[in-house]
Amino acid sequence: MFKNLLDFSAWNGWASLSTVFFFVLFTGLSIGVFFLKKSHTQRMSLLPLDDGAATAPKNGE
Amino acid sequence: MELEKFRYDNRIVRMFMMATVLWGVVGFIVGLLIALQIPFPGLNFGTPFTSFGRLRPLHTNAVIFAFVGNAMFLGYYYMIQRLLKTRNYSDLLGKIHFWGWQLIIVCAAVTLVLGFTTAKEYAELEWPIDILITAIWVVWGINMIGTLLIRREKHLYVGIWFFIATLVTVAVLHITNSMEMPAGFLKSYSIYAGVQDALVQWWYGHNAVAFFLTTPYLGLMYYYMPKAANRPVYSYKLSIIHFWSLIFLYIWAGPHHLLYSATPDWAQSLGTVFSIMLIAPSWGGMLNGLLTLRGAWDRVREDPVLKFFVIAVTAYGMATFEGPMLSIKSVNAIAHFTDWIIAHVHIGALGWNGFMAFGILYWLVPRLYGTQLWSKLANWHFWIGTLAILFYAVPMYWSGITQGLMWKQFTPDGILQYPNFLETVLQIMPLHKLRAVGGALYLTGAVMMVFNLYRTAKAGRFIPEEEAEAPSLKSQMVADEKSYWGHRWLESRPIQFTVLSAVAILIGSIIGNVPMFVVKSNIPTIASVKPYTPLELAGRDLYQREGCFNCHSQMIRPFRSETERYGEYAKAGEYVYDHPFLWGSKRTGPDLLREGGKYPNAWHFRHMDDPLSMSPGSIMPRYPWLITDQLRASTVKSRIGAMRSIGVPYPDGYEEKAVADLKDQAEKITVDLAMAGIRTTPDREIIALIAYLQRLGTDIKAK
Ligand code: HEC
Repeated sequence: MFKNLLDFSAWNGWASLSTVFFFVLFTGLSIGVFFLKKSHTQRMSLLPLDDGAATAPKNGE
Repeated sequence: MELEKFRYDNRIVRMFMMATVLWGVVGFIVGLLIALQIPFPGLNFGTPFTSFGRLRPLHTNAVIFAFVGNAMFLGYYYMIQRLLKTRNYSDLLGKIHFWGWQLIIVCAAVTLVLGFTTAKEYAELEWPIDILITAIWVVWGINMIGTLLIRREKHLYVGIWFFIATLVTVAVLHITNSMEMPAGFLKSYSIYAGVQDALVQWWYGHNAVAFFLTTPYLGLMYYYMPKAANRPVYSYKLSIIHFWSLIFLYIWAGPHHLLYSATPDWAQSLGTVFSIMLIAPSWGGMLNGLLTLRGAWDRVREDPVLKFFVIAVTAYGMATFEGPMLSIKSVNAIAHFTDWIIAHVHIGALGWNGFMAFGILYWLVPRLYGTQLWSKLANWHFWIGTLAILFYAVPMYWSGITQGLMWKQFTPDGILQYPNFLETVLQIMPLHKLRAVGGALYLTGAVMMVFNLYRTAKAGRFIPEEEAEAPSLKSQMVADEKSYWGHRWLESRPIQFTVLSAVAILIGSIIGNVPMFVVKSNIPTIASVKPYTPLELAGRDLYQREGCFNCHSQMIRPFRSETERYGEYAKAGEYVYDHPFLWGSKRTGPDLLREGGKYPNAWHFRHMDDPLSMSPGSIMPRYPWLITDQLRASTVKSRIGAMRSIGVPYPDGYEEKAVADLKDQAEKITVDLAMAGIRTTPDREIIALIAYLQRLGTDIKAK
């Protein structure tokens, strides 16, 4: 039963399988990302702007 | 929530900053020198240490690992502390990382110039240095994971994901591709041979571009663009899709470096398909970067930092569009082995990496010193740098296309229009001079930057530590005790995140490489192909030492234009004893796969001493030291032993006979040279090199 899986000669099939695998994952990820809460993504995207520094010089502006 | 007080460490950032600037200038100077060596071969100065074949790897290693590498660590150490609201896990590990990395660079510079090389592009360093790299990488890894664990911000920002992927993937790549059998201190042979070696090498080489030049810089882009523009990234959601699809797809694309070579078709198709799919995440990332500036374009006009970033990200977009185009076989057929590829990589290196690094330096140094940027000179740097990229890239595209077409041009009668390779070289020399102007401009800009940053530092005072405060991680966990699924969950789990990125890059790595090792039919053997004789092996080692593969390929593609010029196209089975493979990636000189028997020994002797004497107008460097220096025949014993241990079928105990065989064969060549009026002794290096050149491609060539 597992013989087919271990037969590497049909390797092209493995590559197509991986492509399909990628698209499945990609679609799943996209759906998941679509449903991410706005409050969360907003907070995350603001992270670089808040570095918690008490003494950070405000310059360059 | 109670606030905890802590301090950010700027010292480590400053150390990497200084190293970046120093090595950047060194790397650019060496680059300019080798650019000039091509049209003006006199600049090879006739010494081994200054000849093109040794300096070219010095240049690539200096700019990739020293300049881009130090800049990435500089950006990283500043960014990670602030994104995670914590000091680095260990100051000591940071220092070890820094000094270890500089030690690697110095070792690299010394050994490459002395001719110690594995001959695998961007992985040239010999085995003791490889071990050092691994150790220092682990030090960085411990420090990074440690910092992730002591963080005060529950969720990891996208900039950090890219560094996690970098850490994991570079480790996997470096260790796998550097598997080599030592044959002495600073000498080794790749354990892979021929086609296998080529696939592993370009899986590595391509992903060194991906995970050393791209992912860390995307991580930096996601932090420093918003910082400099003072607005959040355009789309956080897009960044999630960008990240995962980029790291998953990139790892497959390596074989696009080997199109039309003697690698199996399935591998080549895989490389093409995944390369084309890569456009999507690459452009997603580029747009995400550029759109971060929406509504802030007026500031781009004033702020040199933003200007550098805009060109950097645009160059990234251009290079990542061009890459997939070059993976299409018909485009590749013209572009491969030509200056087109040199143009392509410099759009990435000068534009993307260089300009990102400059932008970050201009943004960071004033902050490290609590002052303003000293001078508007930065704007000049920007314009000179941009001009430099154009002056570099346009001539190289022109040159690449010109030469690529000339190689393929037939007369109406069906014979090659330019049968003399040198003719196609001389045609493009004016373009090479122009490109050197581009390089000189780029260097000028960088020197202006050094001056500007120096004055900035002088004008301010270094801030070694910055006070900061944030609620503890625990208190955030308590406040936010709801459980989440999906990506939000993953973002707060550094270990799981690291494991999952490892899985993402391992899938392509395994499917792309493992078949080459387990499926016998992938490399058909040819009965007439025999291991190199000891003298030929010694000659092959010299070929590597002098870096001949930087200008000469050993891969005849199955086109009529190539078989007419060079002879029978390359077969996978011809390379089974080639540890490492020496296919090369650039033809500044002609292919040498079927060089054996093409000229008499005396021709090679004179040509190596002074190429102009045999090929008027030649731009190949001179190698007079090969004629005067003595071959160290005794090393051949350990080398034969090392080769046998990785599968080359030398009979048991052959080491003992090897030296005698070597001397016999050398004697014959010396006698033959004497008949042509050349007086030399059999123990000279040139004799071994001639033996190797005369062997090339003869295994299957009908004489
Ligand atoms: C800077 C690039 C460069 C380097 C490095 C270089 N060559 Fe060359 N080589 C050329 C060029 C260009 C030609 C064509 C002109 C000529 O025949 O000299 C050439 C021609 C040759 C030829 C003649 C090929 C033929 O069939 O006509 C041989 C053999 C050769 N090189 C061997 C070597 C060896 C061995 C090394 C290393 C020790 C080396 N080359 C290093 C550029 C280079």
